[in-house]
Amino acid sequence: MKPLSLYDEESLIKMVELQKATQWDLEKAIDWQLPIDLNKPLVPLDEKALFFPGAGKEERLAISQMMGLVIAAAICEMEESLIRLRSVGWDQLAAKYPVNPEFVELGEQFFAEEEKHSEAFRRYLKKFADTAGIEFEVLREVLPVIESTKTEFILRKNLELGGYSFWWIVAQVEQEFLLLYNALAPFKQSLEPLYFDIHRKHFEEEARHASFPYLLLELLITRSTHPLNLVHQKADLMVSQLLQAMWTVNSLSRLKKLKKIKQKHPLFDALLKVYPLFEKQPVHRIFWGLFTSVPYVSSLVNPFYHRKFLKFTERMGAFSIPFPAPEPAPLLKE
Amino acid sequence: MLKRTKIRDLTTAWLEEGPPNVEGDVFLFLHGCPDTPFTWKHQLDRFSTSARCIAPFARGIGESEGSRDSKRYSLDAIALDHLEILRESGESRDQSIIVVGHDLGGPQAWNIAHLLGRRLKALITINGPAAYQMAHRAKNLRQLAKSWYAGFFQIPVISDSLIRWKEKDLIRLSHRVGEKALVEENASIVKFLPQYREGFKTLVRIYPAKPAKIEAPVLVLAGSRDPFLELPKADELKPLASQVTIRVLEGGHWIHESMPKKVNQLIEGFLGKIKEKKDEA
Repeated sequence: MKPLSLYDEESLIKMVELQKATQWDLEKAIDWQLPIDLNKPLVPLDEKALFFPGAGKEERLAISQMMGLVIAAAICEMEESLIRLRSVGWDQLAAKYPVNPEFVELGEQFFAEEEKHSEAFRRYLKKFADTAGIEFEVLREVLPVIESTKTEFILRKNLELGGYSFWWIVAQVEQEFLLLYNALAPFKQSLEPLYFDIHRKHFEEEARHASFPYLLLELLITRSTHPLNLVHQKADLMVSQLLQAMWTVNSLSRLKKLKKIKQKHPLFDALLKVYPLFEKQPVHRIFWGLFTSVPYVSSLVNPFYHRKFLKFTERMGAFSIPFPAPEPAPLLKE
Repeated sequence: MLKRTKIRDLTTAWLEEGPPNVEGDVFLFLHGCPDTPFTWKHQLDRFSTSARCIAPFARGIGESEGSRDSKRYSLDAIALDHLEILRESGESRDQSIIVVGHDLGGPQAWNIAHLLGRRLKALITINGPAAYQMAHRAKNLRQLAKSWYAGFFQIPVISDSLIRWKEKDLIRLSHRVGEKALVEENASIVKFLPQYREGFKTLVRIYPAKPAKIEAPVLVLAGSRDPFLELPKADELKPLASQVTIRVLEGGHWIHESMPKKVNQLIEGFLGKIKEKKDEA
């Protein structure tokens, strides 16, 4: 298929039609009756079990499940944030910088699908909580949140000022979603089936519309008439990287709350047992690992994990924070 | 084929191509400045195979006689001339008209669209904003910078003499920066000055009034590199028409010359969709 181009309505029509023909139905495409297998991990771990070297089998399962839930919640929150910022981040821009009706339709589909994805992951989180006998609200206390955070506030302000940080984040996160599924796929048999299935369906649609944020960024950067366009063009990628890194660290630090809720469920207790292993590690090593080698985390913050994204940032002439080179850790079958 | 007639005492000329049918659609192509109806060569070639195409010469251009009465250059007077041309060319009241305007032909196209009422099948503008749009861009500094020459044209005597002095160079320059593809030796700027001046009066008169909405489908084509016009925005077109499709092409001011295949294809597609909708209804 021809690569998508803003001004080539034929390639856009084809993509719109392909998306329409292959989009899945939230109720029918996923078997929501499938029980959640609590004895299976949600995501494969590396040798260090993210930050807990020396964790036992039971603890590795708990870490994997918590990481899987964190990932699901992060996807859900990011996609919900996309919907909340839709008016200033899409509707107003589409009216201000029109290209052709096909591009608008592509954008509408993008938002509709993102809404569906967030609903799918939210349902999974609730189902997991129900199956494990954890109150959903208690589980949410340790999972990432974007709504009403400073990150979302800054992103909204940046958009209102004619900036692109929001779309830089979306572009990189879309790439991350693809990378995430590719990491899970080889371990399909050992992972919790419903969790894997949602990721597979999520991947199918994300793979099709991962180009959309790039097209929108190109449109904004080349067409914006804002007096600060050049500043936004150069600096907003760095702003987005900073926000993304801060949000990721904050999200992981929410796991500290496990101490308060350890008595609410054995899963939390199991995680707390390995907490000393984490605390033993020097802070600088944790931070270095966070940006270079921790599966699912480093690739979210470090743009060097995404070649297509990196190439695009260069083409658009945006300045990037000098991240260290990635050192991806191999994942293991539990 | 070149045709001419007297309209309210002034010789008025136009190009006419296509079968002299009395039932099919009629295309009315309106050119801008500095230009002539020959700018529509590719469109006349393409659409005259199935429809009658009329492309008038602007007042004072080619064999269309100029007038000392500046009112003959107002948008309304020009619209009356065009209606008369349609009548002279045998257009029947049952025929649907497709109006296509480029540059200064844009405001003319929007204006005559109102007068055609239900006979208007579609309005297509190519880098040709409506007068209302331009009036509302009065606070847009980028548009003001791009339209500086239109302000200069309002200075009588000085602008006339300066343009006469360097007219050929100025025409060549505008054609070059606007990416005009067809060679046009008979273009003029001086002869368009009365139109610019009357047009400016119209802008002052209509601002900030809201025009009546056009109900027929409107296709707005714009070149992303147009050095004379800012790109259209969906919001500014909303008060003007109920069904607007905006398409931005990677080109300059004369996209119908520089990328004729693409422009013709888009026009055909647009008209095809109108037909489909009509058939469905």
